[in-house]
Amino acid sequence: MSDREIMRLYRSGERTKAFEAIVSVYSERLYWHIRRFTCSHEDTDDLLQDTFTKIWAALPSFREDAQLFTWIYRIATNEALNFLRRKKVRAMISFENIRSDMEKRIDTDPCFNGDAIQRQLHKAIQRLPPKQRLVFNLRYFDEMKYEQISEITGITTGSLKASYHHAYNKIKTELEKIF
Amino acid sequence: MPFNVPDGYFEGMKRQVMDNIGSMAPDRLPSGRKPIRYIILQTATAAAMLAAAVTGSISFISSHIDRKKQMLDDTFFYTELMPNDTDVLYDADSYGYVADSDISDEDIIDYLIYSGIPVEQLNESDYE
Repeated sequence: MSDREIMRLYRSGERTKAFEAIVSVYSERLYWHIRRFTCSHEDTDDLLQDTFTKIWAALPSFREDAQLFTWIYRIATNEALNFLRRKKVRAMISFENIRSDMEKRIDTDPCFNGDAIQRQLHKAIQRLPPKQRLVFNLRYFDEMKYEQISEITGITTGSLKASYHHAYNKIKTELEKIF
Repeated sequence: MPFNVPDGYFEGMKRQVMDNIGSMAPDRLPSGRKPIRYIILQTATAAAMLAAAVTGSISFISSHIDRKKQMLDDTFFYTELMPNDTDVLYDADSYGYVADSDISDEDIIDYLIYSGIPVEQLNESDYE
């Protein structure tokens, strides 16, 4: 079902059905989007459910001046970035290193089934600053256009291109050191 | 993605999300279709907040004025209590120090000897 059909269904009063369609269409995409930030299935599951709860609560105020797709991604992205912020604060309080913790998660994740290069790629992504990580994930994995990423993040396309370029070079350098 | 999810995760998650929202009503109404009741409620809330702010300001200003007035009254009161007559100020007797003291000439002589003044220098007649 397309976004337009979902919104038509919603406006016709079939709110629950429209929301059910959103969950069906977006659950897998949002799951992977969030998972790339959290590196953990359990945290992703929690954040995904929170994201859908927020979408349901905010759906009546969705004005349709943005695309449903970008609006949903914005909510999910905010959830993921807030999760990282909270994690960073907790790490500061307990004097832990958040980066090494995230890398450890990749090493110990029972759901990881990639090879050594993919493992190092994901570790290198975790070492990026949040903005670069967000842009890289949306561009490289979700294959989004800069204009779409701009709508989701509110960052100009010029700044997004620069961030992606920096992120790409950092990851390339990291991987070249290892392989 | 080089990650996998537990079997049947997405079906279970979808069911759980739908169960969660089953008990929740969307907390806002669609934009552009706000009922009169909603507008009245918002206006009443704004009016109540404004009234509270005005009342608070008035009570603060009046209490401030009262406090100022009280401070001024206290100043006049204590000013009246303080002696401002120079005769009274320099009259040691008015403080009762000398009049009430029991110091005898003998005490004064003892004090002077204790202070190191030779006995020869003391003219006893001065203290009689």
